[in-house]
Amino acid sequence: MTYDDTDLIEEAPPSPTERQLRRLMVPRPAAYVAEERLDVINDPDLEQLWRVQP
Amino acid sequence: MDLVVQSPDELLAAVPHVLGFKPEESIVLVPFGPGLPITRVDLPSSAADREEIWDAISGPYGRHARSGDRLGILCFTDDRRSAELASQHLSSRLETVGITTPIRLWTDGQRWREFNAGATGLQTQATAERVAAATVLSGAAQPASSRASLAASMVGNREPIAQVIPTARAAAAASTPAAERDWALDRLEQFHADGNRFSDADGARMLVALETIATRDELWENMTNLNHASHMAIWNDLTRRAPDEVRAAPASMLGFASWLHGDGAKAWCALDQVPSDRPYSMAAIVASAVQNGIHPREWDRYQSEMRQLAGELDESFMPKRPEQQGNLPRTRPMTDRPAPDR
Repeated sequence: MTYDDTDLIEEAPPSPTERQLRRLMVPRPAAYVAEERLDVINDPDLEQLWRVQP
Repeated sequence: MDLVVQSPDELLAAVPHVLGFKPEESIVLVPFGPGLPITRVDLPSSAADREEIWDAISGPYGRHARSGDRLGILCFTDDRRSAELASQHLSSRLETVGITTPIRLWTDGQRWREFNAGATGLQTQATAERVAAATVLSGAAQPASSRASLAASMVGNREPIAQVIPTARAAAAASTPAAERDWALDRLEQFHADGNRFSDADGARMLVALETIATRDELWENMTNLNHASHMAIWNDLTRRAPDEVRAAPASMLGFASWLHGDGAKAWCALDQVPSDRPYSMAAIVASAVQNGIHPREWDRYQSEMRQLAGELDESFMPKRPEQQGNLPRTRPMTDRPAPDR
């Protein structure tokens, strides 16, 4: 562990889980601009739109 | 499910059931087959806006596109001219990554027009009701009337828990972080098993426990593709009921669980419940995942890497013979990019 177990979140540096996830997900400023947001639905239930042939 | 979309009218009526809300002044990209996501963006009204939209979606679609992929471009707006320009622009850009768009559809809620073929028709209430009935039979939840109402569903009565937070803080101060973490994990497992709503006292205790990073991370890492629905339920309830001072964590957890569920719109609505005056790095990471269209399977990959790393570390503590010293496990260098505050 690289952090104090009793640190409060708002005072603490990024936790190990946060640091690891940042390797996968590169933060972008656009993420914080409400009018530029994407609503992405991954693996949608396409059967609600089309009949998906097996 | 028996529903088979046979007309633009039916397709337009079905989209809110997949998104979870009725889109307004929006473009929705709908894949014809598995592999690509559904995406909703605000309708661009200028050439610069249209290019910005492409910049935003080119990442997710460029990553996932395969030769022969097809998308429908659906425009929900009264502004037919902007819809035609925006759908044409998107269509030409999508072709550059190998995606064709056989359908470019516009509706103002009353009429529809398919721009490629020039066909027109009416959007009827009868079709909307028939599609809604079919989705009810399939067990799907009915869509919110708008994106705003979806967001409003995450705001509940926050006063009861606010009143018992001081008591929970006093109890936590008399306890230890480790004891509170163990309680939180046990309580989470109980919720996974019975799904019963937390009492105000348990809710306050959980919210206070989440303020400790190690505890929050253990609960976060408990999320999997198998239990994300249960996580969505618990964090949705606590986000609705948590006062400002303790809402950043449950709202971020709800955002992450929603992303893991594949629902980017709900994830955004959850992140909007993080108080704006409280920068919260977990929320920034979830926002990045959603904005970049990162697929939820990346969480599986992350957890697998962590398990592997833990295994390597365990092995590294085993005494080794001198000839083995050159084969010590190595981990990849970590690039710790800073997240902007929100």
